[in-house]
Amino acid sequence: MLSEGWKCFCCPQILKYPRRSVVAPIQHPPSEPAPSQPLPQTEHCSPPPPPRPVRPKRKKSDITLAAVVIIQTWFRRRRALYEMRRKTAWTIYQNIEYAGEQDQLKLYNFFLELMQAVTTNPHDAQVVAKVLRRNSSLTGLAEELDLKHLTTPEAITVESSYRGPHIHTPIHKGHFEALILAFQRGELLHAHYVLLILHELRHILKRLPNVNIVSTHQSRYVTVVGDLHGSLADLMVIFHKNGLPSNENPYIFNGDIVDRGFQSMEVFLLISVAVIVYPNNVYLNRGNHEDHVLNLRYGFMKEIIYKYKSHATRLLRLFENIYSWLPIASLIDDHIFVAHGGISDITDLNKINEIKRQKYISVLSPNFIIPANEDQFQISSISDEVLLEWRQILDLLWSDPKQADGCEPNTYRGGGCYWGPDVTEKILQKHNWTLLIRSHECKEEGFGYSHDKKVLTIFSASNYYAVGSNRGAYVKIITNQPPIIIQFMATRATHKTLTLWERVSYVEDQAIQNLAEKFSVNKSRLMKEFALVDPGNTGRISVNAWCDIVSHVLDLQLPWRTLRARLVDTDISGMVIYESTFRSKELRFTSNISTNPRRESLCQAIYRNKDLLETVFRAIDKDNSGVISMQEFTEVCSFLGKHNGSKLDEKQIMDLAASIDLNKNGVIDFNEFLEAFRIVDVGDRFQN
Amino acid sequence: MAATTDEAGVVPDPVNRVTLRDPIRESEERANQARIKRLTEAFNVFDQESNNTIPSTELGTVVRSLGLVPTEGELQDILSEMSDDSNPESIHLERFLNVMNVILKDRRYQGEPESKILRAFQVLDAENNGFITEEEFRNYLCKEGEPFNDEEFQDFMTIALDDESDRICTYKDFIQNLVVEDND
Repeated sequence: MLSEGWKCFCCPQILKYPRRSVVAPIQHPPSEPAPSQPLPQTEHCSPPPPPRPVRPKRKKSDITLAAVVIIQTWFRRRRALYEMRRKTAWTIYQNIEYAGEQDQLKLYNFFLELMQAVTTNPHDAQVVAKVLRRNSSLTGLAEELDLKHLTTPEAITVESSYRGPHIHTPIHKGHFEALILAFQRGELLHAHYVLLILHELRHILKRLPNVNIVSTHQSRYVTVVGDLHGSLADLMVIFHKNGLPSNENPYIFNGDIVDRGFQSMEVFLLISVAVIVYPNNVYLNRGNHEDHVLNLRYGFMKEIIYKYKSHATRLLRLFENIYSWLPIASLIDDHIFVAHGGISDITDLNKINEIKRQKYISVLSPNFIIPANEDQFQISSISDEVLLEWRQILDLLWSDPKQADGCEPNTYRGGGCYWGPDVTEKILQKHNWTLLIRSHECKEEGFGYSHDKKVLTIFSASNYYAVGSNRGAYVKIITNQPPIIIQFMATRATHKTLTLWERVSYVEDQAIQNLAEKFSVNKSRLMKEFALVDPGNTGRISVNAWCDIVSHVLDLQLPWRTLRARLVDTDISGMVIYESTFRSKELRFTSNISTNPRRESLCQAIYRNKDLLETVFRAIDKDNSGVISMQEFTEVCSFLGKHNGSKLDEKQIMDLAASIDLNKNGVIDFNEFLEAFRIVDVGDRFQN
Repeated sequence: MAATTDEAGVVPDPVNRVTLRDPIRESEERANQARIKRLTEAFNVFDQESNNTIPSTELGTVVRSLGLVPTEGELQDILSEMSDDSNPESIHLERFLNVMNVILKDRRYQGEPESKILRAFQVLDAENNGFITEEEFRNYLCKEGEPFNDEEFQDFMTIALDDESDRICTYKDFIQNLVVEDND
């Protein structure tokens, strides 16, 4: 007897059947169809066929049934092991990402605290001020003129040797298509034309309201795209599947266009040109990464400096200003609210409309709230009104939904709120909305619903952590119909869907390598703690001890027990041979300098803080030359050392810089310095 | 041990009272702690919101990743033991630990030994060919017992298929693939 329906594990009325009998019919209610590809746990359920009576004489089919179940059960176990590994790899990525973000934001909060207190150490104060000082402290008309003067395209001539695309006003569809082709070929658009496009964009943005009013009346639908994070590949997949933007094919880009991916410039330019050519049908929402403070750390600034070198300063200045003119939300057909992060308990459309959004050059640390130069170190008495307005915009760009009711500060990210279903309900009722669409969080399937399907997260950067880590998705909102979600994964062979086994091995590989790197840059600290619980110097400690120490030193809450087998060796009795923690990666110098344990420990500390150091160096280096004074360099190192408890002794660092022969006439090329440290593969790779 | 007076008639300080150590109980307690830690870790991987609950739909994956081999029907039993009627869609860590700790201790749901799996294949290979075709697999695995869905079947076939031939699977080698060791 054949049972036709799929089994839904989640459905409550599943009949339990004994093993050695004819299969009894499985009863379950029909479920709603999955958005596109069926997820493992929710399947189509069809009504059950009528039951057949048990026939004891047909013993052969009993045995067959038992055999089938054995195979199915063992297979499901194998599959579950792989699902667990995939989920674990995912957890690793998310934890590392958030730990990095938290670190960054802890640093800024630390700076903020310093700014608000009367500091006794003038040195510290100066470092802080340098980092948070905007590129310009002008306001109003003076700022406008200064900006125009500095960033005019006329200041840059296009050499005759330039072979890339040429853009002229009026910018039209032909330019858009030419740019797509050029970028796909890997070409770089000349800085002159970048400035041209950005100024055109700025001109349009300045006329827009804080909240885009989007209507599907004419086009019948609108497509919402989530985080792209500089992924040209994903943008191309979306355009391929969904068509280029046009007056008949409108788009909303929900922020986080830049940072992380290495083609942020190209993605931003293409979207900008789309806005310029179809200003009434392509909409932009500001994301938390459309912020120069984050670009410092998360790659866009680095990309611009790398690609545009001497023109970088101009471009950065213009981007900084353009971000502030981006609208901060969109409203589709008066009932679907779209913002990058989400909402909070104070979100109010009327209040949002009143904000002068251009004041917020950086949303994370707006300079009119944080003093712009080192003289203004008073204990800030920021008025409630100012703070509340700041929160309106901060919450829109930084918040995340949570499962339980209520609204609490988002300490994970350092900005925005965690908001619960009750807050969603309240705000939908207040403004007569039916749905909130947001992005900001990477989802394995590219999308996710929360709060009883009243909140939709849409994330469009596939393979965000590693190849195969997640799909991307976009959503089509059709007039008076439920949203349609389309998933994709940008890979070279897009026609072939990866099996679970393939996806797990790619994703896991990268995640395990990341962890191995973290071990190597924490080697001295780890070995110290290992030795403490191994007084007999046996080289072995218990699994429990290893897990506890690693978790504590790395400050990463991961399933270490599950990961252990892939990370370290154990002996026959199950004790961890802790030296094998460092069996696959090592931190080395590229040049030959003498090392001793103290210096090794110092180098690891520097490497651990590499991202932060780089960020702060870059912030200090106002002319983007890559060079800062030796004095500033050592100040920053020791300042950051104080911040997170590493010993970055000034004298030691100077010695180190001298021995790498980088201290030239009192200035140092910090890029060279940071590049002197490399993580290399050593010995055996981690076991598979 | 109760405090007793010494010869001078002084009662020893009760804080310094010596208790007998019970090595068996201590080792049991350690094993118990280790089980709890292992269970909690597996649970936490699926606890997306860090609020000590997982969706009921993930229970199968969690339980199987711990090395157990229950059928779907047996999973349903486990689920009903630990689910909360007021909130059937999620499972709370506490109930999970209580139920699973006993299951692990009693070493239940260990699954059939490899020899039985081999016999299972032989049963399905009615004509004793030494292999089973994809069609036959589809007929058995997707329609009988606790049927596979499309995704499960597709993944099954990728490990079932021989690299050289496309359609045929020799099941003796396949069993190696099927019985994957849990890394713990």
